[in-house]
Amino acid sequence: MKEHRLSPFQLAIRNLRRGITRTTGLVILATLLSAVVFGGSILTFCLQNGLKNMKERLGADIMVVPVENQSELEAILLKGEPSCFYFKKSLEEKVKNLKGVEKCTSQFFLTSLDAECCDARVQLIGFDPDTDFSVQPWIQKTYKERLSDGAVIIGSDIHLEQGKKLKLFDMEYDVAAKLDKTGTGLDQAVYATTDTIKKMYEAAYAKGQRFLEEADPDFYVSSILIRVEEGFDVKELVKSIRKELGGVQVVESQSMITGTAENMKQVALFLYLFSGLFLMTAIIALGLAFVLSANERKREFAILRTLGATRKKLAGIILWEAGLISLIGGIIGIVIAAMIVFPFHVYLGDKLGMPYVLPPLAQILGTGVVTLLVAVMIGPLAAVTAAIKISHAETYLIMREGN
Amino acid sequence: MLEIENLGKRYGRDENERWALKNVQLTVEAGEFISIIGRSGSGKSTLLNLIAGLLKPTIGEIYFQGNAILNLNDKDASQLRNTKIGYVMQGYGALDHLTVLENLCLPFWLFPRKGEPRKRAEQLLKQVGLLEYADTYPTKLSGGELKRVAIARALMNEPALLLADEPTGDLDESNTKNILALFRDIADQGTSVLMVTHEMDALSYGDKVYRMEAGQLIK
Ligand SMILES: Nc1ncnc2c1ncn2[C@@H]1O[C@H](COP(=O)(O)OP(=O)(O)O)[C@@H](O)[C@H]1O
Ligand SMILES: [Mg+2]
Repeated sequence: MKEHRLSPFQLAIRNLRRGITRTTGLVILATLLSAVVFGGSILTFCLQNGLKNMKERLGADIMVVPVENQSELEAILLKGEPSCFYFKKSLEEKVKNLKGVEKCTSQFFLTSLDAECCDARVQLIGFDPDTDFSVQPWIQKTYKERLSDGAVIIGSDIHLEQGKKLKLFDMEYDVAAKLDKTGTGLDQAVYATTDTIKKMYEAAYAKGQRFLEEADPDFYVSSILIRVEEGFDVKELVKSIRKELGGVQVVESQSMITGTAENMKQVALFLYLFSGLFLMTAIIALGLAFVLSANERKREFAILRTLGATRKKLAGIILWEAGLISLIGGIIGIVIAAMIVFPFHVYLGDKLGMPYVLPPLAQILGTGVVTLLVAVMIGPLAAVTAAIKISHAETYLIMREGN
Repeated sequence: MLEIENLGKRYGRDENERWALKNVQLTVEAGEFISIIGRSGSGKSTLLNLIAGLLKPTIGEIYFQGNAILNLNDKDASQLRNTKIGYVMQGYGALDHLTVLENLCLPFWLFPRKGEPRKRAEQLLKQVGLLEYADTYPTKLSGGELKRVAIARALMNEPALLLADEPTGDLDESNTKNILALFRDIADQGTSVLMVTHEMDALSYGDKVYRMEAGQLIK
C-alpha cells in the first residue's frame, strides 16, 4: 500500500476497477456518445466549410453554358465528373458589352483519356490569363508567378507532386503548383492557359481523339464567366443575356450555391437531430445505469456511512466515478470518430455529392475539446439523481435492505 | 460517557405507525461492557443507529461525553461517528475492492488527519490475529475473520465507544468466544462497549446485561 489516503477520487477508481463489467458497459455508452457528438460536429463543419469554399472559389456571379449543358456544369463543379461542351467564342464579345458586366472571361474544357495521367479521367480547364478573374486569384495563393506556356496547375485530389510531369495525350506538362482543397469537383481538375490547352487539343487531335468536330479553341469556348457590377441587379443581367444570346443556359452561381446549401442544411439538420436524440437517450441510459448500480451498491455506501463518511463524500464518490467513466469514454469516442471521419472523409464527401472540406486544425482540436467537456459533464450530470438518492437515503434503511 | 434519556423512535405514519423504541433510559460509563439481548424486531438495531447518529429519534435526547448530539449537522455528526464511535454493523461489513489493511485505514482517511495509519492498522490486525491477511482481499476471508476485521476497523480511530450489532450472529462457539474476549480486552483498555445480541445466542456477557422487549429496555 502506498502512502496515499483514499480520497473519493481514489475510491472511485478502485470501484471502477472492481466492477469492470459494469464499468466497461458504461464506458462503451459514453464512448458512443462522444463519438456521435464529435463525428457529427466534424461532418457538419466539413459541409459548412465546403460551402464557404465553393462560394469563394467560383468567383463568378453568372456562368453561361450551352443550353443543354447546365447539369454537366454542375456535375463538373460539384462532383468532379469530367465533360466538355462548346459554343461559339463570339458570344463572349456580345456579353462583354452588356450593361452591368464588370468582368467577363471564358473557359475551354477538355477531358483527359481514361487513367492516362491520373487515377481516372480528369477535367482540363483552360482559362484566358488576360481576362480571367475566377481561377488565377486562388492559383496565386499557391503559385505567385504567371503560369508559363506548357505548365499546368492541378487540383488537390490529383495524385501528383509539384515539379513532376503530367502526361496527357502522349505529351508531358510541368506541374507548376497544386491548389488547396476546395471539397468541390474542382479538386479533380487540371488548369492551364488557353494556349496550353490548345496544344493539348492539337496533341489529342493528332492522336485521333475527337472531342467535338468543330471545337477549335480559337473559335469555341465551353463557358462564359461573368462578374456583375457592384450594385447591379444580377437578375436584370441574366434577363438581358437571355435576350441577347440564343441557345445558351444562364446559370446563377448563387442559385447553384443556394441549392447546395439547401441540401446541406438538410444533412446538417439530420446530423443535429440524430446527435441530439442520441445525446438524450445516452444521458437517460447513463442516469438509469448509475441509479441501478447505486442501488446495487447500497451496502457499500452504508458501510462508508457507519465509518463516518459525510453525505457529501458519498455523492462525491458517485460523481467521480461518473466523471471518470465519461472522461475515458469521451477520449475513446473522439479517437474512434476521428479514425472513421478523417481517413474516410474523401469517400464521405463523394457519397454526399456536396462540397466537403475538413475544417482547419484549430477548429478540429476545438471541437475535440468541447466534445470532451460535454462528455465529461454528461457523466456526472446523469449521475446526479443517483448521487442525491444515495446521499439522502437513510443509512439504516439501506442496511436493512442490504441484509 | 453516554447518557440516553427517554429515547423513542416511531416508524411509519397514520395506521402504519408504530413505536420501535420507547422510553429508553441508558447510561454507559467509560470502560464499561454492556450487552443488550432481544429477539429480532425488538428494536436493537434502531437503538444503535440512533446512538451512532444514523437515524433521528422521534423524542428523547442523547448526551455523548456531556454534549447533546442530536442536533449536529451531517458533517459534525459524521465526524463524531468517525472519531469517537466505532460501529460494527449487523451482517457483512467489508468493502471488497479494498484489501484488509485498506479497509482498516478507511476510517482514518475519511477526515483529514496527520500521520500514517499503517502502523496502527497492523497493530490492530495483530491484536485480532489477522496480520497475515493484511494485503488479502476480504472475499478470501471466513465469516469469523471478517467480523474481526470489522471490529479492528471500528477501533481504528481509537473511539470512546464501540457499538456492535449482533457481532457473533453467524459464528461458531470458538469464534464467538474469541470475539467476546476481544470486547472484554477493549473495554478493559478504556473503550466502552455496547453490544446487542439475539436472544438465541443467549449471551449474558459483560458488566451489565439488559433485555430489549418490544422497544423497551429492561434491566
Ligand atoms: N424503516 C422502518 N420503517 C418501518 N418500520 C421499521 C423500520 N425499521 C425498523 N422497523 C421496525 O422496527 C422494529 C425494530 O427493528 P430493529 O431495530 O431492526 O430490530 P432488531 O434489530 O432488534 O431486529 C421492527 O419491528 C421493524 O420492523
Ligand atoms: Mg437488528
